[in-house]
Amino acid sequence: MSAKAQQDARYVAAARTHGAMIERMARGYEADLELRRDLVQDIHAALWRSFAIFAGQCSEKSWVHRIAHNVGVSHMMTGRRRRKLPLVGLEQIDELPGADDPEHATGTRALSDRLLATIHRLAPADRQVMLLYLEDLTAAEIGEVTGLSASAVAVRIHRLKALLAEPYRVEEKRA
Amino acid sequence: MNSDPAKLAWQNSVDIAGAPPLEDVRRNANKFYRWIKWRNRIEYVSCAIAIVVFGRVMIIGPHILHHIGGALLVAAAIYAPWQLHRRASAVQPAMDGGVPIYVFQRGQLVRQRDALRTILVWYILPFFPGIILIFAGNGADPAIEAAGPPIWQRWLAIAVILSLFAFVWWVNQLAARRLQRKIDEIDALTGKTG
Repeated sequence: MSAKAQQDARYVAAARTHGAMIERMARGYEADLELRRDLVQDIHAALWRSFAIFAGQCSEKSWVHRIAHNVGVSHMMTGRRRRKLPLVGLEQIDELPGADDPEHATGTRALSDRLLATIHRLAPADRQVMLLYLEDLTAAEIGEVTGLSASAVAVRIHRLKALLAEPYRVEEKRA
Repeated sequence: MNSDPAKLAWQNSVDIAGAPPLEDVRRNANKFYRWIKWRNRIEYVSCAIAIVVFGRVMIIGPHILHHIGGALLVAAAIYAPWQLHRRASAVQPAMDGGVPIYVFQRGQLVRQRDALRTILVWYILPFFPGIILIFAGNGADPAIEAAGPPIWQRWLAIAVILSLFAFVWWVNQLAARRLQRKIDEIDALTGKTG
């Protein structure tokens, strides 16, 4: 198999496996539908190009996440559109934003919307950790993808767990 | 199977999966480089304009000092963009997927910061010898001096040029300090101490 064909095959396999993750991640980095479509295209283009140089430097999963987040964070930092609200750290968010329907605040759909609203408020490092955490990566994997220290990842995951448990504490109180 | 409701809700929030058509991906990958080519073209066109302007001084300048000064300015107009390209051109993050984003970004910020800090050496000073020689050429020949603008206008021109260079240097030092703050933030995040 030629190098080009090998690159194509690797990309197609990775895109099939991680396509949904890429879409979710793009939602986390870009709220605007049109710009998000561009971002997804950029990520796929970057992923395809990256398989020309991928030689098992890390696991394929970490590689794909790194490529996707590198493009996502770059997209975010180039600030293609004005942000309405300043970005904040996890420590500055006490609770997930309110659900449209308080009675079903923990329903799957409402919860994912609230998660997304929270993600869009976060500064790059915290946003990256939250997205990776929700994708079920371990703390070690998050460190590998982001380059953050183990303690920096641990602190953020601790805050995240507290934040994500909050809707259920509210429901328990209500019950 | 994951039992965390937040993770479940997030992972079920998007149904789309799979690869987009390979042809589209390849086409987008090529499109990605177009803006770099466009930026490079602007740099080269600016360089070409400067070469034409200073080259004219080099060829038709009335005094030998104008010829030498013009030649030095042409050399500076080639050297400065080359250094800009070498020291501060953008590197695409996607091609460095083996490196986590903060490591990559730190490297890029350090590169840009160093380029800005040393701008006096590689961007400003190279133009000085040519400018000095051209002004010296204006004053070296009484006939040229008599035909030229009054002395106060020449001093004003020198002051304007020096102020412009000083302003460029100052703005770049401010930008370098801003980049250093970003580097410090990344170091704090990644646990680096130095």
